[in-house]
Amino acid sequence: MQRILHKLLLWHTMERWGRTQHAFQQQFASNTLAHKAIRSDADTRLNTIATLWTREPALHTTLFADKPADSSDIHGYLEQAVYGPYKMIASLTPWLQPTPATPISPELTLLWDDALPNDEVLALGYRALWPVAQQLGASTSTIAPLSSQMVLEPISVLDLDAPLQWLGSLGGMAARWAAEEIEKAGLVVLPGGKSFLSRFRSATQTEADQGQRLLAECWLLARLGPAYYILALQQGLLAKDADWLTTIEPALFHGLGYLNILEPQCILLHETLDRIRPGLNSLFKISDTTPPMGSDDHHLLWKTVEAQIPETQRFTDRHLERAQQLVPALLDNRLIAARPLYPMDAVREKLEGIYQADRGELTTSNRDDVYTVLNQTTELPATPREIITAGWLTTLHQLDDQLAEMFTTAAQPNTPAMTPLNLLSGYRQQQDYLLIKSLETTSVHQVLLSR
Amino acid sequence: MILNECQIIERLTHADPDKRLVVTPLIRPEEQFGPTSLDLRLGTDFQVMRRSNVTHMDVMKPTEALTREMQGVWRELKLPPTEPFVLHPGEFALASTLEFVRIPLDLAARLEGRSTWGRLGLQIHATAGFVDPGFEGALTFELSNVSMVPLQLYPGVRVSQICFFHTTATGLPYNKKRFTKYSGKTTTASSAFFKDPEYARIRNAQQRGTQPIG
Repeated sequence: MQRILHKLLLWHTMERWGRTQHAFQQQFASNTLAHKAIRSDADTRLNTIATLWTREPALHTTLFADKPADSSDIHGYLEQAVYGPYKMIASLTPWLQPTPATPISPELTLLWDDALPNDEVLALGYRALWPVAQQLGASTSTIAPLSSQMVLEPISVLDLDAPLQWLGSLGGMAARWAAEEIEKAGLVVLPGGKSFLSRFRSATQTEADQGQRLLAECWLLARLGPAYYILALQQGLLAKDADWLTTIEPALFHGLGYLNILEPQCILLHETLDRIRPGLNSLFKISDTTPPMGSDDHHLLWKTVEAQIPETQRFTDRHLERAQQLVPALLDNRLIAARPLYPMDAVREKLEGIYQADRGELTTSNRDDVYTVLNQTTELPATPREIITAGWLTTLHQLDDQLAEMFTTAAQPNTPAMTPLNLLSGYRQQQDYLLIKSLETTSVHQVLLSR
Repeated sequence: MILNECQIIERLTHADPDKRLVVTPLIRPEEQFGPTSLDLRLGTDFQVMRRSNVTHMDVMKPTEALTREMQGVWRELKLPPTEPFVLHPGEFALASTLEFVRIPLDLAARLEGRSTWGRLGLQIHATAGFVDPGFEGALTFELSNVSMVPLQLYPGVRVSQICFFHTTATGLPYNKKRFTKYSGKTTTASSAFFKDPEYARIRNAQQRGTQPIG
């Protein structure tokens, strides 16, 4: 997995391609002249991208190379296979508008409830969500009535059914939250009398804004865990976000270690990024010579974030461990709404005890009641954050196989350019369904466990 | 042979993944298991037929047009766990199990209603209660209320039970069949009857002007 980062970016761009194609088919389905013309234009552009991806298999050999990635990959591969197509797809999205018939996903609210349990922050979330939800035809019963202060947080129509992207919609809200809370953060005085904000006290407005954003990003990572790191990595790189590359990513990666939630695949992503960083600096036109934050600064930053977020609301190593336990089930295309209370071996052993007692091989007093065995099959609900994290980890696990299968299909003679991409869209859609159903199911599970 | 509770657990925890029965989540097994059955719960998504000006389903229309028409006829509803779906007398709706089910190749299953709900007039399937080996996904409920009073149905309530039968392993599992329309679905899916290949053949024959035999 030397090129895991490249694969992630390509996979996401292809995912955007699939969602864009689907959205055009849905929104411009009628046979009116206007719709036909729009569909035809979109099809032409999407087909051009598909042809680029599938008709030049040599282009992708770098993806599966054994040697570590380096800066030479940047202009040679990423520009051509990722950034070019991504820009072309993005140019189509302004055509796509949410329609009144599009339902807002209640699962999105479930995720927010889990990630933002604090009432105050949740209210901010509602304010952000409501205008979009209303536009999309949500009923007031699914989302609480809101104050008149509306803060629009646009959710792309492409992301409505994309649970892995939903964490991103929290970003803007968090930034606003951070702006409100920044003074509080400044009051957090750490040993030695320093505060994180002291770094920005004499800063210019731009630097202060950067500080707020940094704090907001860290705040999100602390609540959402490695899934947010992976999503932010993808979004930051595709947006050619210079601040993100120079300041935010190193801070987020430090945070994963600080919070003890450093997932091995995140290490791989970070290491690949570090190797290609010089090439990205030139691509992102970064000429700033400001010295990067050192580990002392990062430490201070994370102490500030830690002080702001109660441990019960943070994404912890326990969440990560549980999310990792869900990955095999998702790889096997099963629902991941719950995890077993006991390992299967232990249940089988108990069951064997009952069989032995029935055969007279045990004394009656040793025989377990059948309810003991039944109860051992109980499953415990996964949290929405664990489900989304498992979704991201599974996606990274599958990158190699899915892309390899796609290119193998593309290499078959007479295969239409769009066929291999539709294959990938099928996999992605199946996983989206499972994640969404898992989020719904776990919300019911939680209610049925309550007393 | 119908499996008893211990045999069901045996299959739920089978060491061989190919022989393992999957029913997840198992929320309160002590309440869900019966001597030869396992209760299943109502999921969160429903499909109800709208009143519309469509006079009939013209199955001779092209599949894409019919798909669009069907989308206009059915209305999707997703409910939070604390909000009921109300099924009125004489009403029909589609729903699905909360649980994800995967049936190994040497088991078949039957989905049935629970007596508790049957006594209130709730039917959970019209004719399609049989589950093939190899099925995976959420099972569909064809809900109808044959009583005189509306029924409140909350997501998560146990409206059905499933029992399992042993069979010799099939070479034609549901998820590998060439003509499945609902395999792997985890949401409530409305009928895709028009995708049955017979309609394409009839359509083609109509276009050719084939005369009836005899």
